[in-house]
Amino acid sequence: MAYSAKRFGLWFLTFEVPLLAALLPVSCVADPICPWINAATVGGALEGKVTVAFSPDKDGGTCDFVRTNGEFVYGVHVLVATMQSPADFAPYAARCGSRAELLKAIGNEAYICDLGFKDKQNAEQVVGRVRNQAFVIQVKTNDASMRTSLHDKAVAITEQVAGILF
Amino acid sequence: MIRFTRRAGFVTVAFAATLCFSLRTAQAQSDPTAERKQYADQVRQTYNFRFGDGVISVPGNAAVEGNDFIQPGAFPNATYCKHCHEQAYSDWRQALHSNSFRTPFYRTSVNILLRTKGIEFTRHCDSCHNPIAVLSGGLTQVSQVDRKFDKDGLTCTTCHSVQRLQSTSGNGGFVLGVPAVMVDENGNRIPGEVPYEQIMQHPDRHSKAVMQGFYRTPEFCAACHKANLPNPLNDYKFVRAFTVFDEWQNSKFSKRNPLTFYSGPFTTCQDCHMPRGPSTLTEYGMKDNTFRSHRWMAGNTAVPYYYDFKEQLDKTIAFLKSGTYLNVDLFALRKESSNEMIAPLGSTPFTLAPQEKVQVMVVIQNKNIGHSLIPEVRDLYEGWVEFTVQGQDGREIYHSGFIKPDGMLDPRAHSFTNRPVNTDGEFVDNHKVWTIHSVAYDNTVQAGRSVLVRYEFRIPPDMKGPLTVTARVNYRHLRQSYLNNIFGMDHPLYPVVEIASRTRVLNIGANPAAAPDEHDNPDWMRWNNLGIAYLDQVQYAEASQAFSEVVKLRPDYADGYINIGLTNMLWEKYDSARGSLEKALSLSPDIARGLYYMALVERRQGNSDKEVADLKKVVEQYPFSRDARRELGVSYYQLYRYDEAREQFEQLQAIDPDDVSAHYNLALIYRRMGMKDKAAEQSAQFWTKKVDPGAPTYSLDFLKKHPEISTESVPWHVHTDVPDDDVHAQIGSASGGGQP
Repeated sequence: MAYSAKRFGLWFLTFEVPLLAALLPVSCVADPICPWINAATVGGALEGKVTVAFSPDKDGGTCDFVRTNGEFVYGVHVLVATMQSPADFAPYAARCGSRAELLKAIGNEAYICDLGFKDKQNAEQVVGRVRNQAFVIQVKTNDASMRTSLHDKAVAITEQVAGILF
Repeated sequence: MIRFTRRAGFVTVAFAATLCFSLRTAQAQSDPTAERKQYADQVRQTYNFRFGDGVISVPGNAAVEGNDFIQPGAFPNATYCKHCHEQAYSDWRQALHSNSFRTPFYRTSVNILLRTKGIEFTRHCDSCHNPIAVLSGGLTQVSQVDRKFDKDGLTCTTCHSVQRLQSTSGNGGFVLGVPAVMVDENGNRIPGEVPYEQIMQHPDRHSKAVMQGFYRTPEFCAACHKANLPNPLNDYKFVRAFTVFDEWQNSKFSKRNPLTFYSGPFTTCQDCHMPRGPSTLTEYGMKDNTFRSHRWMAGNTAVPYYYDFKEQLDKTIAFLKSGTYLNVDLFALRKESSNEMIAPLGSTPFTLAPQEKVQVMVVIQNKNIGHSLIPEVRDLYEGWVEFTVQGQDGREIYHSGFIKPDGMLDPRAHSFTNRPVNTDGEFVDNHKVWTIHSVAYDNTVQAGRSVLVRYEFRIPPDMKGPLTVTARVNYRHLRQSYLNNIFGMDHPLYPVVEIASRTRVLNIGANPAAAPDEHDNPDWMRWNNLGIAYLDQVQYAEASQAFSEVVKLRPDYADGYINIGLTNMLWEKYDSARGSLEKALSLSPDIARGLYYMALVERRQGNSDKEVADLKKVVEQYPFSRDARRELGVSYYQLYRYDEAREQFEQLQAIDPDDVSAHYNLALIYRRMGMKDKAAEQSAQFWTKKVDPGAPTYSLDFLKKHPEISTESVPWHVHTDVPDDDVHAQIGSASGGGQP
């Protein structure tokens, strides 16, 4: 987090945040801003407050949201990348491969797939694009009770991300 | 500087931390008022108040009682309502209102505003497209609002929480109450959701909470179906955006305008766009076994097409094709050989020969739409005339208004669109409305009026069999280039809907008179529509001739004489106008339209008492007539009767708060009456709302670069593929240059 803050000229956060974080609940430190979806919306989907890390790069970047609740961890990973042309979307689409299920009315095109149970986590993934911008959304958790709702959460989060990319 | 920044950083973080802590405690609140206050206090601390302290929604107008932020959670969501209103929910889910924010068609435009000027400017658009986002304080750089409500756009409890209307200026001119679905025994609103059982026990109290009498009025729709671009948005001046409410008010359906060419039954926006019908689902809102549709069918086929809402798409297409909204009339021919107008086609015999150059005059009447064709954001939509001539073997002889292989419309089609331009004289593409400084071209047909479109072609020398001539009005939502901006070039073709059409078969050789089609207007009305079209094209001699044909066919028709009088009056032939108007008034002594125009003739001829008397009669019959109020105000002003003039202009301003003549005259009157502050206020309003005299230069820059549009902007243009040399030979007085 300190690294991201410095990179965005918010270097002062590296000093004050640790101090304040010691005095306040973990979820209440000021987080960087993800340009494609805000923490409150992801928090709403994950049913609790989240922390966010944003790592930009020249073609887009990633946002990682995390919520912890005791032993349970919930995460959302958002990747956005600018492609040379829509034809370059194939490698992104391949991330879902044969498991891909078409999602109607999200971006130009979008596909969702169940990534199964891996590293003690269930995960759902959406790959899609808006014009020449590819996006990948992953929603993960080790909370088995949330497994059945991961699909809907992934769709809701994706609609927000795709919406801002238009 | 560094020290200062570090301190600022510390304060910011401490502040954010405090805010977060407060948010947590807020969750434990159960008192809705206290909960709202605490929420608002928190949002206020990081909200971008760029447009003034405490100002939430500017550059939009959305407002909520208490004039403070409200939690999104205060709005019961649509699934809560669905429990008892399945039909309404089902309709709404596919309708434009529930999709007012999330669609790519909207987001592409508003995202540009967000990226280029800042999210706070989007409060202008979202006052109507996403009022919960505006009023919850979500449209700010550091938003802490969960935007899950975005997918519901205008949910049930946005419209059904409106407690009063601000004015008819639009831009979200409503005031919401704190959402409630019940009132208590004293009529006080109970915020938030209540158990369904309570509603079932007191349906009257539910109704009191969620229904208002004014929901059934066009003024309710005006809150968002009228829009302007205010100075805080464009850093320029007030610019009118769209005025569909005003268009309705000026239509025959409002019964508020005495100057319409035709009359019709009082019909509201809701009557057409929320018709009653049977419900197939559980719906406690039914009356007499019918329920008002919550689909708001209109012209938008793009949203149901994108979301694959088949029922909405089918119903929208059926709606567009359903009625007698438009009348397409292949009204007349002009032949190069005779240069006479053969009209009306069908009733008048004629002959055609190979190699003849022919002009077909198509009259398109906006017969039963309560607003313009196409209404609202005409820069995004594509309505146009497709005109075809085919030989008996299917050979295409002439085609205007075709779709090209890349999906683009024939650039020389006669289209009902506009071209707003910026200060570089460029078309304001992608709906960047905040950059609009002028409108280079705006082609529409207002409610009840008609347009004349001319097509010219040459019959091939070898043509022996009949020609099939068709004119149709097509509609596509949205313009192809806008769809390309949204999706890139690789998107499917969006639906093109034929709204109305007319075909005639023309023989090579003799064409005897034929029986009319069941959808054809009677001949007197066909002539009348031609006259109206000529009038709007400022061709007074031709208009007068056409209206004279009307009174030949219907000598009892007072409006026919009024139309002749109106034409002469616009032509500044006041004596001739008086004769026709007197004839009309002898047939129908109280006809307000006749009295109105007669008053203007009286004014010209210095008969002030008669002028005022006539206008007073018009105002008595039509108290909501803008024109009558304005002219009566002018009459009083010229007679130094300032109190009475003031009353008229204040009434006019109540009807239309943006009427420029009301601002101008009230500025003068208030000043004369010593009311300097009010005069200054009206004067300021006048200066920002009047057309910028420097703006047309940007239009000219655009027209210079776009000859196809430049030609379209000339009223008497002719569409043709006949070579230029031929065209210069000219057919009839109306020819003089063409485009395919």
